[in-house]
Amino acid sequence: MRGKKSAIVLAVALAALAAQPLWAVRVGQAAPDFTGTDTHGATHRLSDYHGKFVVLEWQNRGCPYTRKHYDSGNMQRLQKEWTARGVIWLTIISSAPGKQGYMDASQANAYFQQMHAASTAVLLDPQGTIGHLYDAKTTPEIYIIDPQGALIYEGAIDNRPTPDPSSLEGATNYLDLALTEAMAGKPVTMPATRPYGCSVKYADEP
Amino acid sequence: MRGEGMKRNSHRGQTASSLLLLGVAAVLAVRLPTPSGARAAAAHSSVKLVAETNAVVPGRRLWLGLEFRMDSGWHIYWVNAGDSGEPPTVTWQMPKGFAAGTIEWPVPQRLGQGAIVDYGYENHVLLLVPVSTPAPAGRLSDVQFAARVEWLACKEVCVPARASVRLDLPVSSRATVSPAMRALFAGARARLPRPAPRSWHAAASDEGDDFVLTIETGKRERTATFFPLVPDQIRNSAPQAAHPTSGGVRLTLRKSDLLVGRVKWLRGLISFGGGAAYAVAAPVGHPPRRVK
Repeated sequence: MRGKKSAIVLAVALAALAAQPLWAVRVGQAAPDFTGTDTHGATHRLSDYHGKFVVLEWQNRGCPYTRKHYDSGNMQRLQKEWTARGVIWLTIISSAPGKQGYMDASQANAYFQQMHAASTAVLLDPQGTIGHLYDAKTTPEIYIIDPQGALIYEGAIDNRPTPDPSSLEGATNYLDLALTEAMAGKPVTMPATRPYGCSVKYADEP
Repeated sequence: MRGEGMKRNSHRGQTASSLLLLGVAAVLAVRLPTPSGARAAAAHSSVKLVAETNAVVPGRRLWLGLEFRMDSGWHIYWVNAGDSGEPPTVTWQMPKGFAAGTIEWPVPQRLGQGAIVDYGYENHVLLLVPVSTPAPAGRLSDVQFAARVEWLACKEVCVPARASVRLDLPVSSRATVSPAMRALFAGARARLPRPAPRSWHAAASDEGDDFVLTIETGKRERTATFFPLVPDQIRNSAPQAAHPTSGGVRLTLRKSDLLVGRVKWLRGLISFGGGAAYAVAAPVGHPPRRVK
């Protein structure tokens, strides 16, 4: 029993090491490929979406900063608008079981349905594998990948790092800005910003 | 039977009205500014506006402080919060002629291990704010200082908080400092970063994925920690490898993944352990000059 437990601890430690690259993703470079399972059990591989813009959105339903964007409907508006224009939008939950924001598949389906969310898929990442691969630090944090598979944006969703819903009015939405520019074939003027919000609630370090 | 029913009903009525009262009290607590000098409580943290002296002396600088207390394990953030969180913000209201300066931020703690590292304060912190006062006018009797404070308190989860705090001070030609305030403000000043001595030399070089920061203090420094004032220049969670040199220390700082473009200056605090830290600004790209 004890041996088994320490073997598991070792395996988790090795997995954590493997999942933490020395330096993570950089804007302008190829976004690392990953495979994730969504709330309906379907598998999504980033490279399957070659040829399309992909948005990665880190989510935690309990985080006041995430709630600013969901309770106001701002995130759902962005999801509807951009998926309607052919963007693949992957909402990713890297909260570990027992931590804030963790949901199993049925809880997540109920929640996102109730919220009228419109992302392409919600990926469940309770081990933090995708989160650590991208070095996602906060919720909500946004990554945008272009049709060639290069990372073109990483950071905050907008320029108002506060949980106050009134801050949404007049905010500069970096996601809108980056996708609008990139789709028009222009370089992204703000390719990296400081992500704001709650820390991603990863599993405790072994 | 009937009597009992009545009783139960009236009890229910009482519960409802006390709930209503509680509700009204809660709303009032949120809406009304706190009385002068009172501590405003939020979930897991609280803030109070204090003054070093017991009076305003016209024409003389006044020191105010926002005194935060956090529940065990909870923290608030430094001016550069690090990978997550945000620093407290203050909106001042004070009479014409008075002007609040910027917050003097004490040396923060590195918070968290692993992939996410923040900078902030646990337990207790006093944020000092200098206030310039108008020249003697003779008409002022009492001065009301008010601050609307917004902050984020976090442990495992984060709770945004806001409060309006107030302090009324008399105007006088003389002011005294109580022993309690003397201790509180002295403690806060002891936690402030110090200016680096003029004899020191700081320089950094851009070396691919790293910055190498060289600090010459005139003696061998065994260890050092750099706290970046500017977000997204260095990777907060990366270990800072310290190489003692004969006249100081060389620190290898991993660049932030969010860094775009060239960095001309690394600005921040350098600590050699023991709590004290010094403000340094190191030009990037110039080879370090050797101090003889």
